[in-house]
Amino acid sequence: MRNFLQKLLLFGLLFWGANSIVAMIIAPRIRLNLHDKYHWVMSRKGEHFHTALLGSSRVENCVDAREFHRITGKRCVNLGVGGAGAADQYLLLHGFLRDNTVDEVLLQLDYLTLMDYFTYGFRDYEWLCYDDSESVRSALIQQRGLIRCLFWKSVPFMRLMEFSSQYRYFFFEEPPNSTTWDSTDGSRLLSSGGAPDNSFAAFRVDPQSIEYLRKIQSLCRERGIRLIAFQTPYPPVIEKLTDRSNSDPEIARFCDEAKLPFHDFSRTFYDRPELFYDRHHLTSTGSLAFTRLLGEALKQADKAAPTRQLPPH
Amino acid sequence: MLFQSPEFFLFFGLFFALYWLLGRWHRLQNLLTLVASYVFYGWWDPRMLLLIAASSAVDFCVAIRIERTQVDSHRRNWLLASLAFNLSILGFFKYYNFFAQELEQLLKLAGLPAPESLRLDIILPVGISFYTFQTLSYSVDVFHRRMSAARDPVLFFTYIAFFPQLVAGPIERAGHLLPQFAAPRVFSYPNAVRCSRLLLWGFFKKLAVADSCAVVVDRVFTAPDTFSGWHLLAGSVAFALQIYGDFSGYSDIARGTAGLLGIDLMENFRFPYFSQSPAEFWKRWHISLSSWFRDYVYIPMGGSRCGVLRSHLNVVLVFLLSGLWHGASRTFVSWGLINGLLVLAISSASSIRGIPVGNANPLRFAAFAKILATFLITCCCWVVFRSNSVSEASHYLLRMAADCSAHPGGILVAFRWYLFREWCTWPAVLLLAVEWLAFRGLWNFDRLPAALRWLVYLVGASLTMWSAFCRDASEFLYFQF
Repeated sequence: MRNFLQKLLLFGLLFWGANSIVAMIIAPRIRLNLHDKYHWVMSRKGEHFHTALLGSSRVENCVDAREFHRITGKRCVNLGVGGAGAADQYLLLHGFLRDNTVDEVLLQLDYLTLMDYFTYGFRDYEWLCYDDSESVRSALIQQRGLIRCLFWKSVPFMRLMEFSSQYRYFFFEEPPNSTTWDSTDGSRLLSSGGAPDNSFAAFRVDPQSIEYLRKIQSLCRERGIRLIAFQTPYPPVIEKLTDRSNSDPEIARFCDEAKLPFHDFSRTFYDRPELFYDRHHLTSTGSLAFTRLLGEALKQADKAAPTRQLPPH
Repeated sequence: MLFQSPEFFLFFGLFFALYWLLGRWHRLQNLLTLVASYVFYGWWDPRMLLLIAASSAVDFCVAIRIERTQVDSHRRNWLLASLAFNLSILGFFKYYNFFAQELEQLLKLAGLPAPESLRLDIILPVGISFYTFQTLSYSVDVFHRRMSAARDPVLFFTYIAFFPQLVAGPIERAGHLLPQFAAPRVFSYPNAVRCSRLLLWGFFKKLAVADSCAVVVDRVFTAPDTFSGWHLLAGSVAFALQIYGDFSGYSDIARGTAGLLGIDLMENFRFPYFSQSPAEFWKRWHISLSSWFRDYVYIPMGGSRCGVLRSHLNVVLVFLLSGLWHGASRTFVSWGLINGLLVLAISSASSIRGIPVGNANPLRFAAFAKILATFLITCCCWVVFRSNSVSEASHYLLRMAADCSAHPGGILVAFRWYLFREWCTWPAVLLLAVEWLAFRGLWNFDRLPAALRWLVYLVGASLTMWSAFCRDASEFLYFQF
């Protein structure tokens, strides 16, 4: 028995050592995958933009940076990433600002950003390869717990599994509450809590999302960056399918507290459903049309209350 | 609790340590094994424990009654009581909804008024088919005086609930397992090494082979119309490898785990895909089930000792039951029926033409062609097994046949896709290569230098782990049976 256990232990050590080395070689290379927008954003260096657009796929798909530049004359970068929740957005902006500068950030706020429930769970697998940054480390600990983070640290190859799965390490951990289906019978979540029928889930504010939105605000304030909030358009059907309008007071409250100018375009295209390719995203034509509207609105706002002279470009 | 989950590693590590600490007291080891097995099984749903405990209790008592009773008719009645109890549990939990649905459709077809729904909201207990068959065989064996009834309830309950093989076999016989639990166990280093290898190999089959192939299989079977015939053939081959990797992987893990506890479980697979006929395939695939049906259904029905027609009917019936055992659905029943007819047809054709079935040197062209043909036939049968309905399966097979014959050149495209684009199927190629060497008797791992052996362990374990990292943990396919 002793001989067997000794060899088992030796095997375990060799296994740990060899795979940790492989993991440490692989992990930094994951950053080089610029087909992943997270890594693309984090890889940008030494650039100056007048405007950075921050948000989820609703920013990535709905605002065209070149058209925005044409309308406003401001050099713009679209940092919107599919599935990015508030924590992801904060880390993206933080990472981007490490090596780049911007004058203003246009932050898209909607019910999905605030509720962190639908598809917007924190994407630890995108961030593990950046855990040399303090902000990433603290976000990982807050979102995934200290035990798991220590485990990732001591068994480096275990973190790599997070890049492609949401595997639970520990049986006592609750699975992430981010499904659109009922975990007991697999059927869709029924509307509840006053949500309109056909809604996936009742809107509820996630305090952590608010916390990260505040961090975005603080980050911008520290860097002297003007922060402006906006909401991209929805098709009219959204009102029947979700209770997203319940998020309006919450967004207004957040903007009031943070003293953020807020441009709400959520109902702008209610009469133009042909501009949408699904419930949350615009077609190319829709994207150009909305960008023009956004650009013009911001130009008007700048004329009405110029907060700061933009540097020449 | 899945074998590949961290919980199981934790659970087994703890159990292994306690188990061997109690090495001098084998009765305490049995008690610990029973408790651990119930924890393992209750992890899915504690309510299921009631069922397995009831089933074990009934058969424990009935077997003692059978043994004590000298009057044959009384003994038979007790056996019938055991059969009725076990088959009712199995029938209710596994087959009630299937037959209720069939009855509903039959009434509808006949234009008779049918109740709104006869179906009930029943949870299928994990591994019910496996442990029910174990309890059944025990009662039958005691009835036929092949063995004496167990008097120690802990011993018997442990035999039924032994966690390594509880949820997906092998279906052990009491005559093989009970004496092992009744005797003290000794830890042996060579056996522990052999079992650890088996464990590693089982995990490789499940995580690297089966779960990798599942990626291709799911894609092809979800939308067969979007693929060419050759791709569909590749999909069916991938499913053949998936189900083999999954099930034989489970069996290897079960045997390895049990072996580390000093318990020997029977071999469940013996290179089934190198069979030269469907009949041979069934002697090599899920051996514990095939032999169970042979011993407890086929032979009692007369086997091959009765007339030709009757023995043929027996074969078909056994395969039909085997299909039904796999699941309450028309696809499984059809799959069983097709296999039965295939076994009969090919055996009959071979005996008429005087061609020996199987056992030829696999390196000879004719034998190799037979292996290939049997494998392809098996793959086609697996399509029926994997599909959601018989019509879906026939659509898949017809499209595959029509498209392959219309575009024979497409084989190269499919081959390239299968091997290079879907590179995740490479572990399956490695599995087949190793199995072929072992089948030919050329695989002697112990002959390798120790350093090379350790390198193989390390690379194998790492490959398995990295494969598992690429996807979510999935259950073993045979858990549903």
